[in-house]
Amino acid sequence: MSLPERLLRLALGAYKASALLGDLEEEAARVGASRAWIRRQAWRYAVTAAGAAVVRTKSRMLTTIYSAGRDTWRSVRRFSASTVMAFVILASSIGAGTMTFSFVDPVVLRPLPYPEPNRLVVAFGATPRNSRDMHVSPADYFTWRDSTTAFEELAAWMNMGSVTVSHSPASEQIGVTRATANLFRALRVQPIVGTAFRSEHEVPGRDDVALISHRLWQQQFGGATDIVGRPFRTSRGLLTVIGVMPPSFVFPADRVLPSEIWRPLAIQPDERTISAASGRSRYVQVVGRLRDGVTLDLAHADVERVTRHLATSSPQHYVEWRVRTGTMLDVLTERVRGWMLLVLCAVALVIATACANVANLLLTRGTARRKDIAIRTSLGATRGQIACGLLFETLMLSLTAAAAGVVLAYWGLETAKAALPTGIPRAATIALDLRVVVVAAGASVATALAFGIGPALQASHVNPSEMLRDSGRAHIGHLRYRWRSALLIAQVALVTMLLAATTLLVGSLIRALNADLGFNREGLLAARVTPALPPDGPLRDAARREFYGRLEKDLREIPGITHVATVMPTVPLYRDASSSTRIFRAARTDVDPIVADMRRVSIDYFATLGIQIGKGRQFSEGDRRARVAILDELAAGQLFGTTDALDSLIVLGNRDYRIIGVAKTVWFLGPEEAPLPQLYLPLDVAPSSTMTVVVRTSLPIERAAPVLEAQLGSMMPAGTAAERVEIQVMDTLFRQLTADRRFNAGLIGAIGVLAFIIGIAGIYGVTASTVAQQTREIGIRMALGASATRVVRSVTWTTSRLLLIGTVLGLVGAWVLSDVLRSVVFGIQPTDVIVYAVPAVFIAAGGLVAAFVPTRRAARIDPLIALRSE
Amino acid sequence: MKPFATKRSAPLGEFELVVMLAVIRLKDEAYPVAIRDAIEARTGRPVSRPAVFITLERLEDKGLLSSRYGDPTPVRGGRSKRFFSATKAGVASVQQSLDTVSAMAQGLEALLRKS
Repeated sequence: MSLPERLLRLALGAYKASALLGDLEEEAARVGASRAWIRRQAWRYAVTAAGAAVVRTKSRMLTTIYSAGRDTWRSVRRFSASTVMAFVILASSIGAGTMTFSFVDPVVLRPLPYPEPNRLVVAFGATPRNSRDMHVSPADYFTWRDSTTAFEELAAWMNMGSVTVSHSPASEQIGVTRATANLFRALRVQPIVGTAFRSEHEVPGRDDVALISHRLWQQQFGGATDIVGRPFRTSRGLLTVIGVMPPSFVFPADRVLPSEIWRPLAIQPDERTISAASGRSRYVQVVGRLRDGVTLDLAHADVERVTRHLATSSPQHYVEWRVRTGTMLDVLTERVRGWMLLVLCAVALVIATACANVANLLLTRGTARRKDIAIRTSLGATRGQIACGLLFETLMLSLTAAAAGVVLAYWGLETAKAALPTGIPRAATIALDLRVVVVAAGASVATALAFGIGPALQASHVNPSEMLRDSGRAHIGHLRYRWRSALLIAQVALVTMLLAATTLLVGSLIRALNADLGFNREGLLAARVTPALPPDGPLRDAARREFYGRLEKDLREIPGITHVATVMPTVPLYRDASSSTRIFRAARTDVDPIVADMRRVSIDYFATLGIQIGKGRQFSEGDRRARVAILDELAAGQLFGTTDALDSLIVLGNRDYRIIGVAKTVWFLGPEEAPLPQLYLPLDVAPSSTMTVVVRTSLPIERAAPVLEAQLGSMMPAGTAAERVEIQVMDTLFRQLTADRRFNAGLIGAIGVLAFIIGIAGIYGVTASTVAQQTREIGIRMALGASATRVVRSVTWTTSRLLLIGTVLGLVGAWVLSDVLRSVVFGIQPTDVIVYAVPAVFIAAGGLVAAFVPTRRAARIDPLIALRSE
Repeated sequence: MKPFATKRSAPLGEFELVVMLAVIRLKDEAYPVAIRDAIEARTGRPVSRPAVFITLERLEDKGLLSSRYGDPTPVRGGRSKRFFSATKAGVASVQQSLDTVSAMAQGLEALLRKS
């Protein structure tokens, strides 16, 4: 039985309902109408019957509610422009707000899912090249753990990639994390079944035990109660389950493939103390829980003190390395927090704009409906009935708008998730948040109620006969007019601020995307190759020289490839490998050495990448074994105070090198991070078997990449695995580097456009209804001889004045705001005139058109018709 | 007390009168579909189904109409028709309304025809 049928039965009883539906069946058969038609008609009957049933109850409250609902429906069906505008504005701003908050909250704002998460602190290192190298050496960790006093527990852990688990029913990839036994005490989370591992498991050979996730327990082991002690097979060997973590347990919080197996971190004994072999290998991460009453600053000082001690005992491992600490949440969200909160603020501004806008529309409508209310009052409607009617109407408006907003938010969230840059922490937890829906809907309902009912109730005070007599005249109270002007100014100001912020961010994105990185990334492909060459020995150099020489030569013969070069360790923009070194100025002990990023490059490197040589020359064939070097302008400037450093000598290690050229600076960390000074040395023999081959092609990149991959594959010596050839498209690397920025600018851009539309719609709505109320006045003025132009000018002038005030206020706001923006987003130029000109022009032009259209229409009306209006 | 119950002498509304007349005209075949068809055919104006239905309900509540159920038919999805007929009070009420109208209209024929 369908829902309308059920309702009909409820209201009328089974017999009457059945007869009614029979009537519908009969009519449908007669005219060939569809089932949908029957259903629609049944709904109409159901609503009518429900109404009759309510009236029959003789309950005053029910009757009032029913008639209010009916009136609402009728007014919605009349589709007044202001109702539709209010709906659209509310729905889109609730949608945008809900979406953004649902997005930002789980990533940035929500506390980590451990008890007292603010006391969880991570400690790591920073180098000039990498401000957040999260890894430290095991020796660092053990020294910190044993010598600091700030922490209740200090644990180390590392991600181990994934294993395949194939217990039952299908095999799956599961992320693995190894951790010291005290991690769970530090996090204050204990297994719900079994126990956490203990320190005796932290020994190589005794570490084949595992804690598993609740999901894994349920899905792979069917929630077996005898799970503890059970062995299970993974692609990396047999493990024994010793416990199951709670369902909500997540660690670490930012893995793409979440970890569901936790194993003891077993460190080799010789790595536990600092030594020549162990010092540089940094691969564990550290998290600790602060002791009660210890602040982050104290903890930082504590760790730094211990590290300084380490650095004095083996300084070579701590060059340019300094300790950083931060709460776990702050460090986790560091990369995205700034711009995500920025987007959240932008959306808050949009919601504020929308509320001002809706308030204004409702005020205008309240004025227009005074006559309506007066008629109803004179026909005997009580104030309660009228208030109830209006309450219902505004509630229905805001609630349906909220529902539409939630649908929009859901859709927007799915779209945004698909476009999300990789590596956003806790991205998996992004979902529509019901609390947010409630807050957003609540805000809109409150606005609608505050501004929808007040004016109307006020109207019901008015003596109906006076009101009816006066209604012909434009009747806007002075106070209300002020309110409306203030609200219009407020929204214009808010929109101007948002547009200015959008222009700033989009402008800085465009600057970043078009920035001159010092080389030409178009048509450039890089391949990291690790061929299977003979191991160390007398034949090594010959084999490497032969292999890479042949490789370059063969690649040059491929049609469409114009340049080939080899470089060690890698090309710009590829951030996972680096080689920094200290450069001294020869014979000048008074000049401090600089730390530079060093590359060994083949002769064609500069031509292949399109790096300009400012002074001197590139490497040539004769330089292969010579002690010559090329500096970039940055390095030359720092070391010699001038870019003209030709033929000067620098010292590397214990050897002197002569500078033969000064190259333009390459922004090898991308457009947003200042580069280190750079040093280029000629490449004779590949110093390691892994090299980067870089190729410039005139073919479209999507065609060239597979060709290069296939060619390289076939050129590799026998026994080289396929994954030893790793192709990187430079343009893709660049896009990955700027992904956050593009996503952010896209979001802010969308929010800016939304705000602009809302603002313009608001100006249009208010002008339109003001003009509608003044139609009679306009008619009189035109009948008395005013020209249409004059009428248009006077009405438009009123709006322009408000627009002007709003825009100026908004620009001042934007100027204040730009300081905040500058601290969040890199490379913003808030002094740029364009930043202020663009929003001003947009809002002024848009606003004037929005005000002009309805006014022009009113001025075209025949004065006689205008006089008869209302 | 029946809802909508009013004194017998309460006059019929215009639409109520139209519906009563349609029921009387259709004799034994007065069920909602036929009643609506008849009104639309004679008055030439569209009539909403729920309006007919709710008026019939009200007139039955007032005791001016009574209803009975016919046999189920396949074309109606196996559902019965609900036939309406005017009660004595109903016929009297219609007569009274018509009398009122004609009494008020008497002597105005020439005037009414002009406009």
